[in-house]
Amino acid sequence: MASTLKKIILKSCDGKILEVEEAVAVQSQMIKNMIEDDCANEEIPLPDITGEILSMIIEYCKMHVDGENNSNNELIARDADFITRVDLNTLYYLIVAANFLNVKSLLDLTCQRVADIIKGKSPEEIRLTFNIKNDFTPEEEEEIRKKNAWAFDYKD
Amino acid sequence: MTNSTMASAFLPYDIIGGILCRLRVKDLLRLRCVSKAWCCLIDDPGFVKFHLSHFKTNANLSLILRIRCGGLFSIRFDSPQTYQMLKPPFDESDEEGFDILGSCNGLLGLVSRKDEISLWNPSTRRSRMLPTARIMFSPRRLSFRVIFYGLGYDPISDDFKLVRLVQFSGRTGELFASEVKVYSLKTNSWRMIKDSPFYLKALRGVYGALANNALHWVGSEKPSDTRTIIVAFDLRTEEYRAVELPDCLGGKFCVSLYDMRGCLCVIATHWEVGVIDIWIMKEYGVKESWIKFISIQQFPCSYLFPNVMPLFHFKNWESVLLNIDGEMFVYNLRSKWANKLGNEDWPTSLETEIMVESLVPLNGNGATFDNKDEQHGGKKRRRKNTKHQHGGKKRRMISCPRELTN
Repeated sequence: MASTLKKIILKSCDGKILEVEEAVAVQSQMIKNMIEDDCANEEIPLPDITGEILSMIIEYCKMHVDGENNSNNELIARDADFITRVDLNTLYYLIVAANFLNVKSLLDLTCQRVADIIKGKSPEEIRLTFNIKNDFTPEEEEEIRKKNAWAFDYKD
Repeated sequence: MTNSTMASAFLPYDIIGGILCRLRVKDLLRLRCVSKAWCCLIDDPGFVKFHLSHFKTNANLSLILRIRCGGLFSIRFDSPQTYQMLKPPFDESDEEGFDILGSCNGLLGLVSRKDEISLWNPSTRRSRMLPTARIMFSPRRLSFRVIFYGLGYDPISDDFKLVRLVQFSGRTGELFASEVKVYSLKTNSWRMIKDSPFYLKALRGVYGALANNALHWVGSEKPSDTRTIIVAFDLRTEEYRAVELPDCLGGKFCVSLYDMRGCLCVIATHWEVGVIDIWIMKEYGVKESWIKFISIQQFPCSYLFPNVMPLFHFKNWESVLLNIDGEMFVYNLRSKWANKLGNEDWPTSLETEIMVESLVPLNGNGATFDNKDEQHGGKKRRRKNTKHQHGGKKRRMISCPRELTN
């Protein structure tokens, strides 16, 4: 377990410094690549990732490293617990950060969470929830709706 | 969860794709009117493929059931307690009826008793009638005619291909001939290709099994040949080749051919000794990789053998889904225990097919869902309401061993 003793130093965009065990840090494919290329000996600046988000990501990665010996179901339960505590706005920053750091399981988890939120919602609700501007004219929108009118029946 | 909103407008395009690929087709068709960007993304051929592969890898599939008194249902693996009735483009209660000739990437190929063919995407509820392709060839001395079909996808030309092989043979003897046409969804047209050098055995099923970008039928070198082979038609090269059966299929047996998630699968019924074996070809094209992985034994020899149809394997072959005489069983290979799927009111099905949900459009160019040709043939529907027993005409099921000559 010698490799776990090595610490990786991460710096968030708002200046927060976090020391992370290598075993936890390599959950990020990006950091793993940097370590392999011997570029992780000094602090790694992470533009666009705030300290708050970075702490959450480290919490998640730690949970996965610590839970390596746990059953699959246990991990799924922990993931679910982690992700349901996150509000939509934080979820957005988590996705962007997980994408940048290339933490595949977290990106999967966050994308699935957003997909679950979208499921069964109307286009109006989606626009409202995700701050999307409707750039269709009413005629264009009507045309698109007519093509798949059955899909607007929310019964199943 | 607070009631906050998300600044998704700033999410990179590929991340939005990574989110939307997890949604069902019905959700996506509705979300096309969220904004122009979302509409473009959902219609994008790249996204259609991405969505398809996500659903395939996650085994997010449906079982299509065809029931005895007419009616087509789909049951999703992730919620087997609910089933949905489907409206196929051919009339189910019509006396002519139809068969499902194949399932590939969300499309089902249907053929009516009048040999009309339709491609159908049940998830988008779009279908397309194929143009008629006349049978040009009519050899005088070969009066037996059997039509074989198969549906598949050619990744090289990025096109769906439907193959129709018309085989002519005499009552006895060595003579046989074929006429083969391939329909391309991209061009919406049929094209004649070279005929098959192998003889196909109609009793073992006329609808090709799809594996490794090739369609497969049971056949032999010549009609009189007792040595059974698998005849493969490569959808990419449009060449025929023989795939060998395992050597140790000793004694008298008959085989039928299936595919399980793209893996070639053979049911060998040893009717003299009363054993049904299920073989899989672990590594496509490698004869030594045939594995006998289930053996159902001790049928009395006078017994009418059950129809066994392998459909799907879960968790790296930990368990398999089998259709045995119209009832679904999940057979666990470790515990050697079979569980009946569904509850008491599940219909007994005649025909089963595995289908993945997909956005694959039927206008061929892959860009939009707006094609006028794709409308359902509403005119044909509900002409007669006569109950029709498809049992006698069922072609894909394993045939009765008494018919065998092997």
